[in-house]
Amino acid sequence: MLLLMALRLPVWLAMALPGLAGVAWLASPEALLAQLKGLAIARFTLYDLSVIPLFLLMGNLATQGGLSAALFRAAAGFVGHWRGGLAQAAVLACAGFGAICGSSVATAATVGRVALPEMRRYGYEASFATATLAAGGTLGILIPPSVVLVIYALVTEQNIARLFAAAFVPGLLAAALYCAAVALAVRWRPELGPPEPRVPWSVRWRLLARVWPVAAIFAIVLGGIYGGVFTATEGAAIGTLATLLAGWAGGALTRAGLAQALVATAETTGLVFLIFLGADILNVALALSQMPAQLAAWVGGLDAPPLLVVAGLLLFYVLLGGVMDEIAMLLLTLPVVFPALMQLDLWGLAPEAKAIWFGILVLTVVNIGLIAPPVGLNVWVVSTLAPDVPMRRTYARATIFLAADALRLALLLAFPALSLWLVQRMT
Amino acid sequence: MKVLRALARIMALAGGALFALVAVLTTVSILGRWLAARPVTGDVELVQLGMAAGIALCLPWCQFAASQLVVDVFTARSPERVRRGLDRAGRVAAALLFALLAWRVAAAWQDQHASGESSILLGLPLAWTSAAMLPGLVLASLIAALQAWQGDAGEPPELLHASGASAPEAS
Repeated sequence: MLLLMALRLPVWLAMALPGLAGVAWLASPEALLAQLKGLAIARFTLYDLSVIPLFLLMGNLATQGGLSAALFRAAAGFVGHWRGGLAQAAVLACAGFGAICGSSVATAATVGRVALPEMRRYGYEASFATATLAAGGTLGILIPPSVVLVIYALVTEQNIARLFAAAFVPGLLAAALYCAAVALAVRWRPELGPPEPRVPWSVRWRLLARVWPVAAIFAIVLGGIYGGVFTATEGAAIGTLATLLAGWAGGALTRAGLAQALVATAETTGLVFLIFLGADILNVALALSQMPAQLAAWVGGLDAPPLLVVAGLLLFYVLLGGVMDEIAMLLLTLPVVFPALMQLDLWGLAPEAKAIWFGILVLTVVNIGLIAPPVGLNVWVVSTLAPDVPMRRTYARATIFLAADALRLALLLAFPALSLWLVQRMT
Repeated sequence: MKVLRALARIMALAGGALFALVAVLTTVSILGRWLAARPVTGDVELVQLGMAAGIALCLPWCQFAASQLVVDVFTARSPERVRRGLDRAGRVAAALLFALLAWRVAAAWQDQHASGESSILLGLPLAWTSAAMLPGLVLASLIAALQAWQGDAGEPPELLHASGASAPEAS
């Protein structure tokens, strides 16, 4: 299957074709046809999955609604006069935007369009600016809502609200560590990010006041989901409408922008569901082959320390994420990996806590894959905004953010409480 | 190809609009639940129908992007001819698979139509769902077939739209 992918086959086909062959061979061609009859319909009509297009639409509407500009200006007002301050402002703006957008690519592009020109105007080194935005963009999935967590929740049958709660503290930790990384970088090389003039406090408060729609949407959607007032799907629906209203009332959302948001949502949704279909077909074959159960038994019987197994698994994910699409990677591996993981005794955690904790670890690994070479989707997206900056240089400058990610991953691995503390407060 | 592309874009727009409609419906239902203790009857069934139709409508447009989102680390150094051949094979496979899915969904439609099964609350015929999925699958298959035939994927990846970045449409 990996061979098929290396042969330039789109990832959903690389999963579907071996799956088709597997079912036809392990069962029978007739069984395959019978399976296919219900498969696509079942996948497309799953109520829980409707949360994905809705969160995507919400993020795309926020993108077109000009909310990112207000966020960046406010953050720049507060920290812009520090050395490297605009880069930190970009990280903070990404964190704020991530609170209403579940996609890292959209976050990087949206904040990038506002922050990149500003940073370059103040003499920031171009590749440092692009690296900051590529890394900051991953806060889109790290801070809830998060499309990746939704997919993890659906595949492993975990509670979305609890996973979102678990992601909150690690997401803030990520933003803090990225800011620290910027501070360290400009300490070594002051020319990377010169300060901009100080902004008076009165202006700062005024800038901050303009951020209220984002804060309100986040409070309603996530507050409602955390508080159990409504389900994730309902929260996404309300958030979509609120974002639409905010963009429309602010005057930034044009008809062309609305069309753009709809088409963009359609495109990403189509890609995600194609990958779902491919993974579904493959999983039918895998289930027939009994491989997941065998692997789970094998891992359960391993003599190695459980934490070492998890660390090895995460390393494997980082490597795999370097060459393949992260969502496809999760759909492909989780049905096999997850049951195996649940066999392990990790910090004496209860099964549900273990599942949530591992979800946050997986999320972090996905985020690393988005900015690590050779294929970092975020780096690629940001470089379309600054075509004059070679991607190679962006990857080089992103190293310090990758170091921050590695540190965060180690912290999350060593202290499950970072992820689980808020979840335990929920009940 | 131009006609198909325009058609695919219109369908993508319709798909996105359907998602927005689902959002409106769900919100109205929640408000009804809170204010009048009366949610919209059968809201889940409507959401399911809207989603199935919406997602299928996205597929033709998405084929333009999907056919170009490939891992090219391993083949970057191979000759142009080899790469084109591989891409063409991938598009043939996509066309066949979309066609296979369309055929199976059509078969499901026939079953549902014959049995006259309908949803529990609103009595929506289940056959509507499969019928709503057919146009998207068929057009996606046609586009993939045409891409393979012409040896050309159409415009460069549109993922830029997904990122909200201004796509270099002129190039």
